[in-house]
Amino acid sequence: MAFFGLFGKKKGAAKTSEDRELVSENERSVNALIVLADGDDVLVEKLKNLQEKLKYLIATDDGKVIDFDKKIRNLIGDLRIALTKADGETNKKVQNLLRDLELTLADRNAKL
Amino acid sequence: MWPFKSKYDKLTREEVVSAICKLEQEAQEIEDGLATKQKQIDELMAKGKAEKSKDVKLFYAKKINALKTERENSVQRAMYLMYNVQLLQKLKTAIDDNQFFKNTSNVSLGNLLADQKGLAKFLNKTLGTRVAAEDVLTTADETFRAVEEAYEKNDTIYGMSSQDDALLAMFETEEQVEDEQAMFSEHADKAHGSGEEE
Repeated sequence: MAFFGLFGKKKGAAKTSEDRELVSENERSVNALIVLADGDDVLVEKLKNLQEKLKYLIATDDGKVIDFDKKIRNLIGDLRIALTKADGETNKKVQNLLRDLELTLADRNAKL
Repeated sequence: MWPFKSKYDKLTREEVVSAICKLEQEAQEIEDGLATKQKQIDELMAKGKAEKSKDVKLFYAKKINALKTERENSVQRAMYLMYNVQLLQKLKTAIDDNQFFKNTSNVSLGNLLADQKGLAKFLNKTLGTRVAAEDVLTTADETFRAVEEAYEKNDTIYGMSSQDDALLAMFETEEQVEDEQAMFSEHADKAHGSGEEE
């Protein structure tokens, strides 16, 4: 029994470690967004706030919370694409994606 | 099951996003270059018009044509890049879909739905519960109706006594008198009005 208990614990620890890496990756990815948003002070400020929030997320082995972290990673990717484009439509899309990110982050924190 | 993963299985969403960003940047650079080239062409056109020497005019014309060719090539490259980006966007959506359906089928409810025999058993049980509950209601309704039909009003409480009848008759008489008085006063007003006019 002790063996199985130990095995299960290891699995949970590995999951937490993976999530810690994901959380850290998400926080670092925002740096690229800040570079792309250069010139738009309001957006840069928002992104810095977001980065600060991402920085202090607690890693977990809870699958549902990890799904939120994956969703955050995907939204950061989408935001990167939107910021790379430079047309009028993009601004609205960037704002919507940023809102989605904030919402996902809030939902993630509510799960913990 | 095939033991080896295909290139697409190994492909991550981040890689696709990076590729899209790279192509978008390239397309943006080409677009910026197009604007610069157009500006150069306009300037050369103005210079060519102002120039008196035929040779220099020819030089400007050749330069303009070379720039136009470059511009056309750039436009084609930009269109190719746009098409490429569109396809990569589709690939990104496919990766998202794959993840979405994987996650959805992984949740406990998805697994429940996969158990067809269990589902059929549960649905039959539900149907049985529903029918039994409906039977209870219809039986109760019938009981209500049977009891209500058997009920007879108590005349002592709800019926009309001789005193009630006398009072009702009095009310009716009072109403009649009031109506007649109203009619009389209306006639009197009309007659008085026509007398004053004359």
